[in-house]
Amino acid sequence: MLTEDQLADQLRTQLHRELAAVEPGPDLLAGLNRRRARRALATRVSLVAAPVAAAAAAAALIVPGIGGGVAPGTGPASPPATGTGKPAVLTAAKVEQVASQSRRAMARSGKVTVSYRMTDNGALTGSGSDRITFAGHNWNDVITQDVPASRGVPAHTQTAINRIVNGQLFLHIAGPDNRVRWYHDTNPAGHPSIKIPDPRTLFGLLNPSAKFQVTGHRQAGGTRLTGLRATASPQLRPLSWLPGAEPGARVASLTVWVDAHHVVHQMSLRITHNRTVDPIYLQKVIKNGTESIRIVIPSRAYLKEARAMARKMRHLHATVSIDPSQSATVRHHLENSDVSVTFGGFGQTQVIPVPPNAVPEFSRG
Amino acid sequence: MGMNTGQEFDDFVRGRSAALLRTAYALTGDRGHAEDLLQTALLRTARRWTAARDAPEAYVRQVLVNLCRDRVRWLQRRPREAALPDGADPPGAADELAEQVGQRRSVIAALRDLPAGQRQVVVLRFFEDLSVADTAELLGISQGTVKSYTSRALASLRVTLNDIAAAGNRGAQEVFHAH
Repeated sequence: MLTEDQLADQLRTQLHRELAAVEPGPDLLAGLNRRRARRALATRVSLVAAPVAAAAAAAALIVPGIGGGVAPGTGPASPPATGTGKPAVLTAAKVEQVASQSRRAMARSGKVTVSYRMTDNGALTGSGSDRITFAGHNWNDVITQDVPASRGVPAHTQTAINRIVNGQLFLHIAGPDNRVRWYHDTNPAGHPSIKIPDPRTLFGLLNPSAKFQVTGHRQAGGTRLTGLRATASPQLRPLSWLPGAEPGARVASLTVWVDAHHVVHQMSLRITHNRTVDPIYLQKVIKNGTESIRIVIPSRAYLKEARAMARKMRHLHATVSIDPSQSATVRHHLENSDVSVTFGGFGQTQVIPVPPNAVPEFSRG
Repeated sequence: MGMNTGQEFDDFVRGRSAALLRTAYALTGDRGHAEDLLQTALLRTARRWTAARDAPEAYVRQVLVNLCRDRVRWLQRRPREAALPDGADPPGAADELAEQVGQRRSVIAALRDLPAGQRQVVVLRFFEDLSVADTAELLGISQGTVKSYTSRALASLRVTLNDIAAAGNRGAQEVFHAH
């Protein structure tokens, strides 16, 4: 039976453990900002009786409209500024308008290219693109992955196409004979391992809590675009399907380029992940239905420390093993993933046909 | 609020909102109410930033406890709500725990069954690591009451904590990473 002190210790540990995963969502901070803004507005309205103060309040309420103020075709322009010379933060309503207009423009169909480049401490670890076309419930994803040379394997490019037409999955991949052809997955249970990301979920990053500012203008394909840069991007959580969006990763930067109708045409973001690899790590081992903990160390130099740990965790049946392939020093990794997205095909019909001569295959999911 | 103080407050919110949300969640046992409570507490802190800026976290904590007590009083005057089981646990944590620890009962869930006063004492003493004296001062009760609440709460939580300890002994633990 545990003593009161032991219970207290256990309660303390357990509380911290259970609450560790509780993180405020962007909604919390966005909601706070909205409530603060409402309160500030109410304060300003109460000042109307005093003309000078009212004029100052009205000036403070001016937020530049997107794309306004500069004639089309005049090239890059300076961002609109407040009276202090700093670009103004877009209102929550304006940011939400951009998100909703963009969703509306791609509600039925669209073409999106997601390109990415991933680095680890500056060294390229991978790059590639997804060219996604969708029309209703039909999807097509042309996947290209450039794999850099590593451990004797030369650099190479992998390509594949995942296509869903009327709920049926088709794959354009190399078969057992290395010949690339279309396959039709005839497993009626579906295809749980194949997922085509919905690029429209990216508009969820357009959250007022990220405090967007106008950065300037540029032309793309004859359309004048206005850049909106998130000045508080760490408030955003990267979508799980984005390259490099591992647990603990954060959005380090985000810029979107929108047209005069508030529709996003381009998006670029950087996802950053700081990772530390310890020379001692623990593995959960399940053998014959019994779980135990294995403490893995790179050399005998760590044996004393590992044995002490094992003693502390004896109730978990901890064992120590030496893996010389592991680095003996703490390694810090700064992993960056630069993602650029191009949205297009607004309002255009996209045809995603059933591939001809697809070989039927019953997948195991 | 001026520009500098506004920036100070924003920095404080960015840096400490996660920790404060955890406290609010532990106090209420409900994620939605915790977020509402924290927003209101932060809003009040923003309005009194000049007074709060020296020790903003303590200020917010005090407001959170006060709001929590108001909420308890308000709840006592209205029909009881049944919390949805799925929304009760923090996202992510619930999945991980369910996956790794099976159907183990959580302490947060057990805290919900405690009387409000005992729950507040437990959160302040064992999550916020406040002393008996500080807890008594924050809650406006005597140190003796804090001790007796602590003792009664631990007695009530003993079964849950023993279950968790037993589950731990069976080796079902979160993925470790030694530091």
